[in-house]
Order: sequence, then C-alpha cells, then structure tokens
Amino acid sequence: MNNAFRTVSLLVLLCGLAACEAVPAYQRGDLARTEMAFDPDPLESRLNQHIYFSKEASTGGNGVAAGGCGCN
Amino acid sequence: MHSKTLLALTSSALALPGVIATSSAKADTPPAESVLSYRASSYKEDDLDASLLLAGSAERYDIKIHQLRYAAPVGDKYSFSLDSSYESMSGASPWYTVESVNGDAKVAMSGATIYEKRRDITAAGRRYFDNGNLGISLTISDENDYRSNSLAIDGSVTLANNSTTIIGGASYSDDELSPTDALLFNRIPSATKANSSAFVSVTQILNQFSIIQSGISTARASGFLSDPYKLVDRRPEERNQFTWTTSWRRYFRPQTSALHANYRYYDDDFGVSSHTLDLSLHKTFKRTITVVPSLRYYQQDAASFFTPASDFLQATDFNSADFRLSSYGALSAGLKLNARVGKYTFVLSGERYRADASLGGAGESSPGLINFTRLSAGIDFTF
Amino acid sequence: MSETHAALTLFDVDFQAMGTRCTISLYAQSSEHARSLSEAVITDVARLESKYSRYLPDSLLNEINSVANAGGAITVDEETAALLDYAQSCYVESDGLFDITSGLLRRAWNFQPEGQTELPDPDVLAALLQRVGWDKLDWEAPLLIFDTPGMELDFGGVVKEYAADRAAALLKGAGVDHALINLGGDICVTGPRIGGDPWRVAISDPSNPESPLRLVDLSHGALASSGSYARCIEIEGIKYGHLLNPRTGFPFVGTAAATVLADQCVVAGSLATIAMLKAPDALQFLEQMALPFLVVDQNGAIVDRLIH
Repeated sequence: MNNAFRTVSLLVLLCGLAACEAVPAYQRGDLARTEMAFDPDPLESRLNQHIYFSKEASTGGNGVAAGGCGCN
Repeated sequence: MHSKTLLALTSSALALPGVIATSSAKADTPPAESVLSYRASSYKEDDLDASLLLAGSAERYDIKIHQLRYAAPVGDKYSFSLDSSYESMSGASPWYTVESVNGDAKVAMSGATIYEKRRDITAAGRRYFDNGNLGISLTISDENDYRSNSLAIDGSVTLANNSTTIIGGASYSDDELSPTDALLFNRIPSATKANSSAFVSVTQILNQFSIIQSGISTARASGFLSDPYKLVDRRPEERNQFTWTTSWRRYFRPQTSALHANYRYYDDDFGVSSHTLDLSLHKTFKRTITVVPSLRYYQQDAASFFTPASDFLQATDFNSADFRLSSYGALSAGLKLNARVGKYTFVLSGERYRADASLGGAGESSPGLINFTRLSAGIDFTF
Repeated sequence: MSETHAALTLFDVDFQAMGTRCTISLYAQSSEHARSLSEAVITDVARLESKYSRYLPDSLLNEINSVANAGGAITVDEETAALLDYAQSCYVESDGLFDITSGLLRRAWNFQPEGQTELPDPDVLAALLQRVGWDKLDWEAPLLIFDTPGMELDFGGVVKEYAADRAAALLKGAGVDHALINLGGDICVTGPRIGGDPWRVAISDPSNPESPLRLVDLSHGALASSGSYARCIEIEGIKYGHLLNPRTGFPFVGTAAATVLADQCVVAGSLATIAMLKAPDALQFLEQMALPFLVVDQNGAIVDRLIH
C-alpha cells in the first residue's frame, strides 16, 4: 500500500508536466489573483497546521515544517 | 501653458508599456507591498461525554491564540517577515484510559485544570533571483515545559517554459522537554527530540484558469517521542514520515470564484496512514468582499501499538492510548469572510471540527476523540 | 552628417496590419537591411492586432468581451491594464464622450455606403444605451468587473495609435533615429530625415480621401486623425459620421475630420477623436491643448492651425 502510493505520487508528478498548455503572460492574470494562491492566508494556514498537528497523528506536506511544540 | 487634459492624457500614454522605455525581462520579485496582520482566535474542545468519564474534569481545553505578522519587501531583491504567536490554554487532557466492566473504554482526565502558555516567533528572509528565490527562516517556540528551535531553508526555480516551478526545502528542529511535576508523578524529568524534514514539489500551470502543485516530503523524528503526561505511554524513539500532497486551483470568471482542492496522503512507521481532503471556494463580491466556505475530511488508521485502554501490564512494550494514534475520521466545515476597506482587510472565520470513530480506517478507536469549534477575527493592514 | 550616411538609402517597407496599409520608411544600406530593421515592428504590430482585434475570435479583446457579455470579472495583464487606464483618462478628460464601451451602438447604425436611409428605431437605441457607459464598469487594475451584462469594449482609436508609438520606441531603441511609421494614417517619426529635413506627411480631404488636403512637416512626435474619411452616411440631407455619442447613441454632426500633432500618437489620436465628439466645440477644445491641429467642418471649411 505504502509503496504503491509512493510510486503513484511520483508518476503524477512527472505526468503533470506533460498535460499542460502554454499560457501567454497576458492571460495569466486570473492565475495571479490572491485567492488563487496556494497559501492565500499565511496566518490562517499557520494556525490550522498548528491545530491539526495537535489533534491528529499526521503532519507535513505544507512546505517546510514549522517548529515543534509540546502539543503533540 | 499646457492644459490639464493634455497633461493627464500624456501621463497615461507614457504609462503604456513600450511607449518610452523598452521593457525589461520579468524576474521573480518580492511582494510590492508591506502587510501587518493580526488575528485573535479562540477554540474550545467539546466537553468529554459524561458516560465516558472515569475520573477528573470533563472540561477539555479552551485555547486562545493571538497571532501577529509583518511582511515587507526590502529593496527589489529581498523580503523579510516576522511571525509571532501567543497561545494560552486551560482545561484538562486525557491522563489514562481503562476498560470498564462492560468492556467500554473510559477516560481518566487530568485532575486539576491545567493552565499553559506558549509563545513562538519566526523570522524569515528571502532573496529573489531572475528565475527563482531562496529563503531561510528561524523559529523559536517556548513553553514552560517545552522548547523548540528550528531552522528551515527553501527555494524555488521557475523553468525556462515559465509554466513550471520546482520548489524544495529542508528543515531541522531541536526540541527539549522538561515535564512539570516530574518527581511527583514519576514523569521523565527531561528529554530531547529532533526532527528533520525535506520536501520537493512541482507547480505547473495547466491552462489559463488552473494550476496544480504536487509534492512529496519525508520527515524523521528521533528521541523521546512519547507523551510524558500520560500515565502509560511508550513509543519508539524514531518515527519516519512520508507525505504526498497535491493541490489544485481553478478560477471561474463568471462566478468570480476560485476553487481550491487539496489532497494529502500520509504514512509513517508507527503504522499510521491517513488521507486528508479539503475543498474551499473563494467567492469575491464587488472586489471587496470574499466569502470562503470550506470542507475538510480526514481519516487515519491507528498506530500499530495503539491500545484503546492504557496497558498497565505491558508497560515495557510500545503502547499508547493517545486518541491521536487511534483509528478515526474527522469532518470539519468552515466559513471565512474577508472585507476590504481601503488599506484594511477585516477577517472573520469559524470552523467546526467533529471526530468520529466510525469514519476511521484500520485499527481500534479511542473514547477520547475531540470535537472543537474555532472562531477567529483579525485585520490586515497593507501599505 | 551627409558623408557618414552616404551609403544609406531611404526604403519604404510596406505591410498590411490592423485592417489597413502600413509603411515603415527608414534609411538602410539595402532593402534586406531595411526589412530586418522593420521585422521587430511588424511582429509587434501583429502581436497587438492578434491581442486586441475585434475580428479575431481568439483575441484577448474577444475574451474580455465574452466576460463583458455574460457579466463577471476578468483579471488583465499589465499592458491591457495600462490601455484601460488610458481609456479611463480619455473618458474623464472628455467628460464621458470618449467611451470604449460605445462600440455597441454601431449595431443600430450601418455606415456602409448606402447602408441606411432611415434613422434607427429609438427603442433599439435606448436598449443599447442601457449597456453602454464606462461608468458601468468596475475597473481597478488588474481586475475588470462587468456588473451589467451585455456590454462590449472596443480599443479602436487607441490600439493602432499605441502600436505606432511602440514602433517608434522600438526603432529608436535599435538606434534608428531617422524613420517614419505610418499605420493607416497614424504616424510617428523617430526624428527628421537624414540631413535634418522634416518628413512631409499628407493630410487627406474628408470628402476625397485620395487627394491630399495639406502637407505637414514632421520632424519629431506624431500625427493622428479622426474623421468621416471613409464611413459616412446621409439621411434626410444630413451627413452622419461614424463616431457615436455614448449618451444619445447618435453620430456627431458638425465636424468632418480633425488632425492633431502631439508627442505621442495615442495622445494625438484621442485628442482628434475627442475634438470630433465635442463638435461643435471642437475648435475651442483643440485650442486649449496648444498643439498644432487641423479641423474640417461638415461644409468643407478648413481651420488650419498646423503652423503653431
């Protein structure tokens, strides 16, 4: 199961590169919108990561890890 | 003497690209504006169901968090940010779990109300290059019984096609535990743990309206990974974690809305694996008001050494009754409201989180699952 | 000066773009050299045409207009944002007469020769006017919001002139100090001819586009015209030009053509257009600009302020 997931994830990473079209710079306005950002609200995502970290066994996957705390 | 009309038109004409100067190539640049943000959040864990309570207080944690952030460009090649938070909590937490006569697990809570405080601060700097950027950040988190120092670096490179960005980073943290009342309760008086992690991800523009990011990360924690406050809790001294995350964003023009979908797969050698899926819709009205409804689904398998009742007899083997290592699932729903008034943005948000053993994956579940409600309010000042 | 340029010959590089005949006149050692110098300009004009043409279905303008028609919002790139800012300046400075949303009104009129013998139905015009007006847009770079569906933008009267300005800047950037760019009557020069003589530019007669009305000397800056040179209809003895008043939906009567000289072609073009829209106050408006201009009224009377 775990190995299967690792393989699938790598495949998706590689396939993602192929399945796209070239978008000219002047058509990237909507992609550049704040609400299209991967992290539009850094304070809220910090808070959520901290709360979920203290309530759940899983952690990581949000870029570089923030510091540890005694909550888990 | 030139007319006002001619001056106005001429200055607008000179602002057209390529009318006077030849435009230079686009480089990665720091954000144009500085932002100062404050958030106050409060979240309260639901009381433990009375039928599950063996001893102690049914009242779980009530937590208040204040966050402050300042981020600013420094020249045209650097940016700087400072994040700090102050957290205070009061309430009780599970101490141990036992199996009652009829076979149900019951939770003994810590007796007296616990009051705790935590402060953290992160200072980060970033340098921007023609086709990427490189950042470093330093975090200190401090509690009366826990201290963590961590360092992280990350960078990104945009490939020549301008549609693909590769991001990578690594972090290391050095943590020190010094549990309170160690002698009184036979807790470990002090211990250390270290955590190192690395990630790589790829961001790809799919078309004019959608962008995807997918990445993997690994982390290794080593040292004292048990919970010093549980009566019985013994975990391995090493934990290797893996995640695969994929995030997708899609903009819908007629609806002035952005749809966010994030998925994370997680597993570790404690035997926990989990799936997290969250969806949110960022709908903007009249460019000033944004409403964000969101849904999050989480499901995890239990750790291989999880026991629903604290195993007093097998105390030398790995075992933990920590509900966080049990099999369960959680659903949460949130709503956020942003209103921009000039340079100020007011933020209000709330979330309701419900954990449920029946939504869990493989393994046994715990009676100590947590439900909570979070409310946040804040303000951003952009200048 | 003339010695150093002894080997250079004046070449005219002709090309077709933006629905009109275009010429780049410059000095070069050979026609191949002239061609290669012009290449960047031709490519850039073609780029702007494919981006802002109403007639190319894949253009950005048509993409914006599909949002305009349905209602909604679109985030635009810097160049389009600068053009919208420019259009907004024109709207403000013309007291709402220069309006890039007014193209919709053309649906009520047919300016082809013999296109129309009666005035449009007032109800049709009134319905169109509901969907015209820059003030109905919510524009704050880079987001353009159309709250009123069924609208339409048209950069005619801005983009061709802007293309001429860019062409001049491109050539100047490449070290070409003696060139003239003519995009269908929107003219920019990078400097005088070699030897210091000005370029001679013909301003055509509104009633007879093939015959020059005046020759004007141009050593720097730009010249642009607006007027009923080509498209004009006569109903019940009144000549209607193709410029429509965004408030009434009717063409302006009074001024047949206006030509303005300015440092930027885009400014010259919009001042000429605003002058037409301001008729019968065209003269007064242009006099306030303190720029060289020429105005021809409906009866063929010429006011020549070219020698400034």
